[in-house]
Amino acid sequence: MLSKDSQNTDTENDTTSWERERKGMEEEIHDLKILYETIAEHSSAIENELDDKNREVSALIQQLKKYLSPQLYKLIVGKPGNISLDYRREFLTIFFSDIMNFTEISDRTDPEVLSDILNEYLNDMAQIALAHGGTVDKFMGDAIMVFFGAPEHTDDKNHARDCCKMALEMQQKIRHIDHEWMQRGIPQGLKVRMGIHSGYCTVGNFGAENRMDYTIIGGNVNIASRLESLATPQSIFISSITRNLLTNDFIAEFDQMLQVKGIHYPVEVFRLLGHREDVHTVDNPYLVKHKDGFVLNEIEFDHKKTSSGEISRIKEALHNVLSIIDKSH
Amino acid sequence: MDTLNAGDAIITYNESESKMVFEGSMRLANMKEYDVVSSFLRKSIDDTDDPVVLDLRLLQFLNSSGITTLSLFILSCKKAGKPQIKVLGSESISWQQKSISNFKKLWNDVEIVI
Repeated sequence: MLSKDSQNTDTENDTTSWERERKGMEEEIHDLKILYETIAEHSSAIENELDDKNREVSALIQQLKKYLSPQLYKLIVGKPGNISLDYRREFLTIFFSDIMNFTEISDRTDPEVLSDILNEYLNDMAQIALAHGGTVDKFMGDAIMVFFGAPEHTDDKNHARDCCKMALEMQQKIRHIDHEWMQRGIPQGLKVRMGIHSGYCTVGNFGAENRMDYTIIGGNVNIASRLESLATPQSIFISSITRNLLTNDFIAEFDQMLQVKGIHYPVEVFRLLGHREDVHTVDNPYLVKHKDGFVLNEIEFDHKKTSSGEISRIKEALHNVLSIIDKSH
Repeated sequence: MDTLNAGDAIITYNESESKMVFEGSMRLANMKEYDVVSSFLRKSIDDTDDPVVLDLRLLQFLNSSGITTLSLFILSCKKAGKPQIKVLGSESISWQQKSISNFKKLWNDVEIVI
C-alpha cells in the first residue's frame, strides 16, 4: 500500500504535468489563433488588392472604349466572335473626310474655341460612324478616316450601303453644325468634303513594336483619299465601284473621270446626293430650312467646272429661297 | 550562397550574412508544394545561432499558402527559441503593409523593419 504522503506527491506530479500540458496547449491554441488571423488578414489584403486592380482594369477598358470601334474593342477585351486581327486582304469600303479651309479657320480662331468646336465635331462624326458600324481608323487633325468590312466582315454591299448612309447622315449633321459655327464667330462655318471608294486593301496591325495601329493600306485607300480631295464643299464623291454595290435607293449622278497616279484605268466619279427613304438627305445641300426660315450655304459657280446637275440644284435652292421670302411677307 | 526556385520566385540564402532574400512572386498552388520552401528555410538555418534576416523587400506577391509557410517557420523558431528573426519589408508593396506586422504577433521577439 502506498503511504498517504506518496499518494499526495503523485497527485501533485499529475497536477503539475496536466497543468504544463494545458499551458502548452493554450499557447498552441493562441499561436494557431494568431496564425489564423494572419492568414485571414493576408487573404483579405490580397482580395482587396484584386478588387482594386479589377476596378482599375475596368476603368482602363472604359477609357479604351473611347479610342476604338466597337468591333476592335470587342476583339481586344476578349469577345472576338468571328473577328481577327491577322494581316489579310479584304474587300473594304473606305471613307475620308476633310474640313474645307481648316488651316485658315485654325489660324483665325482662339485655340480654346478651336479645340472645343473641333472635338465636338469629331465626336459627333465618330458617333455617327460607330452607329453605322464603321471602324474609325484615325483622326488626322480635322480629317477622319473610317472603313467598313474589318475587323468584322459581313457583306460587301452592306458595307458600301452603311458607309454611304453614314456619309449622308454626317453631311446632314454638318449642315446644322455649320450654322452653329457661324453663330460662334467662324465666318466660313463648317463645310466638309467626303470621298468613298471600295476595293481590296491589306488590313492589320502596322507600326513600330511598341506603337501599333490597326489600319489599312493599299492603292484603294489612296483612291478614296483622292476622291475626298476632289470633292466640292458639302459633297460626297463616290467611285463607280462603290456605286455599283448600292441599290437604286441611293441617288448619285456622274460627275467626272479621275485619273489616279499609279492606277492604269480612270476612275468614274459620282456625286452621292441622298437616299430615297430619307427625306432629309435629299434636301438641297445649299439650302437648310428650319422652322423660322433658312440658311443659304455658300455657292461656288464656275461655268467650266460646275456640272449640269449641280446647276439645277443651285437654281432650285435660289428658287426656293425666293419662294420662302415671298411667303413670309 | 544557396538558391531555391519557387515558381515565379527565387529564394537566396547568404550564409555569411545569415540573410534569406525573397524575390519575385511566390504563388505555389498549396501547402504541399510549399514543402520545398519549408525544407529550404529549415535546412539553411539549421546550424546557425546567429540572428536570421528574412528580406522580403523584393517579394511582390505572396499567396495564402506562402504566408502560412512563413508563419509556421516563425512559430517553429519560437518553439526552438532560436534563431532570432529580423524581417525586412517594403511599404510600397501592399500585401506587406498589413501582413508583415502580424509576424510580431506570432512571436514577440521578431524584429520588423518596414
